[in-house]
Amino acid sequence: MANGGIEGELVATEHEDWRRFIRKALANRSFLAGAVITLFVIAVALVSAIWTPYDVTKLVIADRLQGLSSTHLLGTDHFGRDILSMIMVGSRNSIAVALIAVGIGIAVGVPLGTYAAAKRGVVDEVLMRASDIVFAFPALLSAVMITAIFGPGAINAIIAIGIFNIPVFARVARGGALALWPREFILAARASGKRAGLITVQHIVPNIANLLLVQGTIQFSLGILAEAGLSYVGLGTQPPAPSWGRMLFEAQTMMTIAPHMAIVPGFAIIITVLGLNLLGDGLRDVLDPRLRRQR
Amino acid sequence: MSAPVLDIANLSLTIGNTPILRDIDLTVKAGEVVGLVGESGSGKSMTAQAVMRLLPHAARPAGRIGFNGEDLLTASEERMCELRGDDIGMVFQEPMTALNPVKTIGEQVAEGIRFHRRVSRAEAEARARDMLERVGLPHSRFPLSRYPHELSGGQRQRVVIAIACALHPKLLIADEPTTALDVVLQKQILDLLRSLVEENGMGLVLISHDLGVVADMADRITILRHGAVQEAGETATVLREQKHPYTKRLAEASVHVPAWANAQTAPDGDNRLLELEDVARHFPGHRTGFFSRGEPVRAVDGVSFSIRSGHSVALVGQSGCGKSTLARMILALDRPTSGAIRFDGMETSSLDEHALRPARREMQVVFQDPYGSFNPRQKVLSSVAEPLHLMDERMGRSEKRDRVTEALVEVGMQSSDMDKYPHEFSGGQRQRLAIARAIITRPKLVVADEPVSALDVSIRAQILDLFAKLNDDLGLAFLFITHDLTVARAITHDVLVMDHGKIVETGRTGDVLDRPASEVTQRLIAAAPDLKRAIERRSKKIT
Repeated sequence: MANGGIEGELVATEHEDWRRFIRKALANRSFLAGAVITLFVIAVALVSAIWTPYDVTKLVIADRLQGLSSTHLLGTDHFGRDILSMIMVGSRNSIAVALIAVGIGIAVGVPLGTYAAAKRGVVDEVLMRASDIVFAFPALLSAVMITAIFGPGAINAIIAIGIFNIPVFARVARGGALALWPREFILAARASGKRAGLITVQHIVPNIANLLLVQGTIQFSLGILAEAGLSYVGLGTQPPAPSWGRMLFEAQTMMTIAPHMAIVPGFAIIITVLGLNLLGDGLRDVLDPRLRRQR
Repeated sequence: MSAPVLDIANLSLTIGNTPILRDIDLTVKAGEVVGLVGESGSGKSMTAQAVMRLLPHAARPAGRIGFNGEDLLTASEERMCELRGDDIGMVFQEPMTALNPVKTIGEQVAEGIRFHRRVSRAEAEARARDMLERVGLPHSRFPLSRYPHELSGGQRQRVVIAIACALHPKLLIADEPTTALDVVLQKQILDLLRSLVEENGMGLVLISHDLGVVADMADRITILRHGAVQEAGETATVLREQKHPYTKRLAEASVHVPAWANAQTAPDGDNRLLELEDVARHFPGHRTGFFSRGEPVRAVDGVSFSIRSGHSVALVGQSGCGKSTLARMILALDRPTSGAIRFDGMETSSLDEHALRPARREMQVVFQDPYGSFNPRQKVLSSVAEPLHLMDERMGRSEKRDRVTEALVEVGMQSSDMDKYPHEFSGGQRQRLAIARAIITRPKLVVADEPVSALDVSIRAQILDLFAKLNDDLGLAFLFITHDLTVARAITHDVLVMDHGKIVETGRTGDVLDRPASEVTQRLIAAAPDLKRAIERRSKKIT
């Protein structure tokens, strides 16, 4: 009986926290707009995996350069491929590249940043100066360099973008962790004989998760831009797989005859990046401890 | 005297549908000190904010706040800006955050003078210099070009007071102005406030949770609880007669001494649980050049003492005397520069983290801030069970819960509390949880760093009772780090007085506090607010 009561309460409190978050999130317009747009883009990407209106690799020259119509909602390109289908499949590429690049940034950057914060001293100094060096290069230019050396392709684009996410997350994680280390609950954990690694996993990371989440959405949108940029110069996703950046490139020469070929992928990029930025802004507002009710 | 400077009548305030203040009446005459006393959540600060019209957005005040005949609740924001900082000054609790860290103290004092008086920069600075001189920061040692971070807490609070009083306000509101300071600094700041009141004939509203401080300072006193006035009147009468049951309760809690069986009969024997031998901790001095550094700071400088098992020892001293650094070394969270620390037969100052585990099991810690002591994202179960990490055998989930239950019950909480998050508890409850965490491994020594100074008086009394009970029941040895001598007197056998990194006096607590030998101890005792003494003094003044 008593135990049942405890479990009941436990569920109630977790439920309440979650509900409070939802309520605040729904009241935040930029979060709402960002979430809707982002979910829509992700849904489109998922749908494209099982169904697209037309096969994106099939060239039907007879149908080339059609405008917007009921058979081809967003028209066709100079090879007669359906642009809607290409946008759908392209979103999958963009999201995959950006998401994995964020994953690389978090997987390498967060351990580095928290390690630097735990060790301080020389280790900290070396790691942070190393990240300064990576920062000092213009990200896109260096990504071009990396893909130029290792060859163009989606995988190398991911690696190139991922490398530039590492110092971003390392800095965010280090900053958050440094503010936590002198706190009393960390001292109590140290007095309980826990090592820095365990303290980082149990106490530091859960308390900087908000920061990382917000940074993650920002890096996600930057990743999509970077992927588009690399594909535009021919170093990202390779044909025949469609990609937003290369669609823009191919549209370049057709600008005067078929402007929709440039407008549609351009719009797709704008919408996605806007959605992610709104989501990030909204998340920051919803999660920001300074705006939170004082406990 | 003539009409009051401040005349609050029927002030009520709601936030949303929650009533925060109900029918508050309060008057302050020129040259008068009125104490506003209450525990946290009683509405003290909200009353002060209502006078300044610095309320949260959702707050809806009603009633009347008369200031020299003008109703502040209906005054325009423009008018309030003229009054704030000019006719009404305010001093806040936290001197660390009340100053802008990127502006010099001179700029910050002169700012208000220039804004309100429209005088030249040179003249404003001249006035700022005078004012800083007046609050005890002479120009020779504290030029206007100093930044807040170069000053200590007490000095910063002087700057805050200088800003508030620079334009000789008719009313000064001081919201817990000394709560963040140690007793000696508290005395100095209170003396300064009193002399400013006498000099300028301003009215002072002194907000405090400490009856001793208010009894010492205030001519009249108003006691608040749950947003309503419980009792108001002459300080001496109110505190001597204690007619209102809540007044009585507050007064009793302030001088509470727990029932403590071991008080007189401290366990004897020569088993030295903790022994420090010539322990020192130096911090590198400030960089003076690229390769050179200044003199190292001797935070702890050759300290030797011992604690026997089951004994309760107080370590008292002013802030910055090295108490907390010493505590961290005892807890092996920091290593001494030289000297040796032996705990339970182990030389902890030279062991590595793995070899320290048995020692860590036997000593735990309780911190001052009940809000900072817990990871906000962990349930109480994980936090309280944290020291069980030190046990050699891995514990099953149910065994862990049993141990946590046991510890929670011991500190007066319930086993169902373990599945809640820290923010669901009050400050006093959290301090109990912190104590539960400290005793869960059944340690021999608990180091408590100002464990009750952040708590309300009634909660403080309960926590002191709990410490006494734990000493009686479990034979726990305590090291209380505190600047509060009433805590030392209530709950410790022996006392160590520390000053500038050195132990200057030791002995039985009663002996040392009644017959202090060193100048440092005498200063501490003289500065400590004492409710009984203050009431006696006030009563004499009247008759």
